[in-house]
Amino acid sequence: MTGLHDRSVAIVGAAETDNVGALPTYSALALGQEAARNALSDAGLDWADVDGFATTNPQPWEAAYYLGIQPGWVDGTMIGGCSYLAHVRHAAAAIASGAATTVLIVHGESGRSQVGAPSYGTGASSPVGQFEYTQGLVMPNLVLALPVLRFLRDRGMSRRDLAEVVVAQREWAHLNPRAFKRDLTTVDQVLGARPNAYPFTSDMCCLVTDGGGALVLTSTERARDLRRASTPVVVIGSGERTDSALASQMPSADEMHAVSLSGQDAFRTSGMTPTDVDHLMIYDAFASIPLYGLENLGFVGRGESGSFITEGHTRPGGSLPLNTNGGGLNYTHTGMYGMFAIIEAVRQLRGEAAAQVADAHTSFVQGIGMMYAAAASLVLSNEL
Amino acid sequence: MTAYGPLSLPTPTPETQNFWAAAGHGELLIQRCRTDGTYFSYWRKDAFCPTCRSADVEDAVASGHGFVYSFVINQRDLPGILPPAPSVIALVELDEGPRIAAALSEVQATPEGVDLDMRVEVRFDRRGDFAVPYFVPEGEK
Repeated sequence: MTGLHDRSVAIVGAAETDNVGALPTYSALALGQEAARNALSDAGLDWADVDGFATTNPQPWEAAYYLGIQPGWVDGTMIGGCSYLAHVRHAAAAIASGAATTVLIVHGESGRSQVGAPSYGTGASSPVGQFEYTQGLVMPNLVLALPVLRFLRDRGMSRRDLAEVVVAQREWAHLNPRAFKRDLTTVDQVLGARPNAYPFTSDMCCLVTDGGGALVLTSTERARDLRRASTPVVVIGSGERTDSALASQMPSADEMHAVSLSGQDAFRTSGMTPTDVDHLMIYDAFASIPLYGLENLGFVGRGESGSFITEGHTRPGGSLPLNTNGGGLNYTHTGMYGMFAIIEAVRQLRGEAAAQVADAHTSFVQGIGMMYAAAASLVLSNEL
Repeated sequence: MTAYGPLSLPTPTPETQNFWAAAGHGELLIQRCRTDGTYFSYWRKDAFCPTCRSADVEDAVASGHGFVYSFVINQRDLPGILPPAPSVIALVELDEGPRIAAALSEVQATPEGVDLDMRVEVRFDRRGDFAVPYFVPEGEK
């Protein structure tokens, strides 16, 4: 019997749509289809090889039929932008236990053009509908900005620390031809951008784009037989946790609690510690989230996240490369960005990234979903 | 009803009926654990204390006073929910302990117009059949 995290399950296909950005001639389903085709091609596999399938929205039945498959294992876990990290964890468990042999995980979202885009709003009778929508907390920027002034002040940090996150990640985006925002920027430019949910400016908020991505997972044993050039990337740790979506239920402004917990699970299951991590992706829907992530995951101590970024440790050439595709702030952000964070980690571990990091063997990927409601984490490795 | 946008009115559920009924009478309802005294603001049909999980809990009328734990300045017009933009939404920590997210009125919607730790007190905005809590600086008429 193989285990979930014992390097017996590998990501063998990882690809995005041909383009990301503004793609008004694609529906959400079509974006997923193109990404899925590219990922299977990347893996050297065919549709007939797929016996497991995971996606979010559009729903798995619609997406599977659109792709022309009737998989024997289906996962429709929808916990927002980190869903695809959870799908990887679930797929690894399914493959390790024999419930599926080859799992295709698909994301397609027409976030910018809204073509065939399903709604994932929360209902008016939900806790969020009753207690946040009625107060004007109707958009993610407002909800995720809400604790940030307290977070900053309690640490002696400021909005300049938010701006440094954008500046640092733009240095990565500058090296990535597919990135939506590539021009180098400064703290003053970021602070001077259009106000958007203060303390955020528009530059501190994620892009809204169209695009898709897909992953193919199978056993590491089978991966060795595939005719393909890229290194298999194995899953060596993972976690997934939920919490209340409501900002009012946060234990404190210090912590996105689900992030802390899923991160602890991923470190524990991988046997790794933060110092073992060569490359880091933290889902950056807003500039505050990498600060939360660095602290809540234990990469730095409380209050050290701002200076860690300002000092250059996460930038090109730094000791802990972070959000190396440019992130949701600069590269692309379709709405549920987690898929792109995983794909960038796979590219780095394969040595195929646009802004390649030297000697990356262990990558940690942290996702968030539905504001504070969910988080999922993966530890990936290129050492079989 | 037509004056209010689709998101401005709550749709109460069995667990929140008491909260919205109390709001209609100008009372901010929270809950209190009779075992360890914890106050909390998350509503369940079979309520339990978030600290000790005791089911011996009761509804409690909050003093309505607290302080600005954190806040955000909203830049979008949301008719029926907030005054014309810019407007302030605060995370208020009530004196009893729980936090509640609510609009903050009678302040300048600027970074300098609101202080963290600023003392505030609750008011209620009449919206058709409902009354929705918001806050103003303490002592505001």
